[in-house]
Amino acid sequence: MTDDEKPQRAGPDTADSTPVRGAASQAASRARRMGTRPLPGSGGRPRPGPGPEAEADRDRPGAAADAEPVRPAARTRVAGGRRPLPGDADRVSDEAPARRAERRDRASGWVRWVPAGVAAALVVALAIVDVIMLQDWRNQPGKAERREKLVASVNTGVARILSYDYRHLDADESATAAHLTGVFKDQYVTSMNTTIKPGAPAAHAVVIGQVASSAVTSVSDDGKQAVLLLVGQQTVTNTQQKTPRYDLVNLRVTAQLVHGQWLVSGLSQL
Amino acid sequence: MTDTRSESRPAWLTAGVLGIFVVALAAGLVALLVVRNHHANPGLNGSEQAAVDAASRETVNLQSFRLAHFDSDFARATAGLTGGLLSTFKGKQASLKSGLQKSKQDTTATASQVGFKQQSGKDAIALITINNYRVDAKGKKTLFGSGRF
Repeated sequence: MTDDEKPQRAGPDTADSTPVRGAASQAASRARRMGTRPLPGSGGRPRPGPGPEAEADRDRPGAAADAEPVRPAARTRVAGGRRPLPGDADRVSDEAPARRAERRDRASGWVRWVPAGVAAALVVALAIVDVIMLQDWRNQPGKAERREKLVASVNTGVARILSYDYRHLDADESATAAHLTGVFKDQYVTSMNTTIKPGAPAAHAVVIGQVASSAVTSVSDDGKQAVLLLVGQQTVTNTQQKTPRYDLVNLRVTAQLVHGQWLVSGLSQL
Repeated sequence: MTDTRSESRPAWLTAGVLGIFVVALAAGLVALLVVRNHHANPGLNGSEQAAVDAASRETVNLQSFRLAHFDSDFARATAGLTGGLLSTFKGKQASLKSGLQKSKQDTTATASQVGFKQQSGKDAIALITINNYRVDAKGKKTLFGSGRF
């Protein structure tokens, strides 16, 4: 049996109720007119709602004892479908705030832990990122190793630039071009096609470039451009130069990091 | 009110402790990125650049002498030397001065390119290319040679 089904305590206004014509049908009729439903034990008469008098009575000393307490919770129940009974009002008025407080406590208890949850998620995410970065860093080559790679790449590229053999100029050109980048690459190809390829076969020209020493002059802040100083020599032989001629070369070379590989992007004689 | 505060205290304490971890991990991440980028750059560090600068300056000083200020120029050149090279160079002081007196020209030099080659303990090796000039009484510079060291 629910609270609503229990016999209700009769209020003062129901004590003298007298059935006139089918109390139930009268109550139903009233209820239809008023949009409520008859309540068992009410004698079929709808209970009056809290009027201005009731509001005034509440303020009177002792009013709580002899007047029906009317509270917002009871009004809410009326709006929900039926008028509150005095007993209902008491229980609802006692339970509703308690439930609300309980719900509020439960909700605030959950909300209290939101910052901690967010912080925990951040800790986990940052820890994962830190570990990944640390592993990545430990697997990366060091400064010295990177510099060695830079110098070795540039030395190889420059040695190829300084070399050609009239017997395999196309192969020399493609092998050298693989070590070059940018405008300098175009200039090199143009130079090979307009100067070396037309003249070298007739002269039986063979030039061998060698890098004797190289040093890093500077590297850009982002580590993707470098300037190097190279000293070396070219050994030249041709139809007129049977015995090799040694030409010293001092070069200022610029290199660029392209897809993890250092390529020569400029060269000038000092 | 007091109950609510005391109930929410563990949550805020936990959040605070985790917050400290977040800050520490974030700082670690930033430090890692800085170190990673620093190590990724094959450029010269402070001491390597200082070695290159000193080598360049000294190489120029060793080949720049004005007859009128020979002693001070020589002292400046020797100030940048050490070890065996210092004693060897001091032994050439007289011949250097007589050469300038005979030619009646000053000498000067400029470094055209300098680079860092390697470092081993306290020794560093730099590669330098220079141009040598003679300077006559009117201050006219004439290139008479170039070298690489």
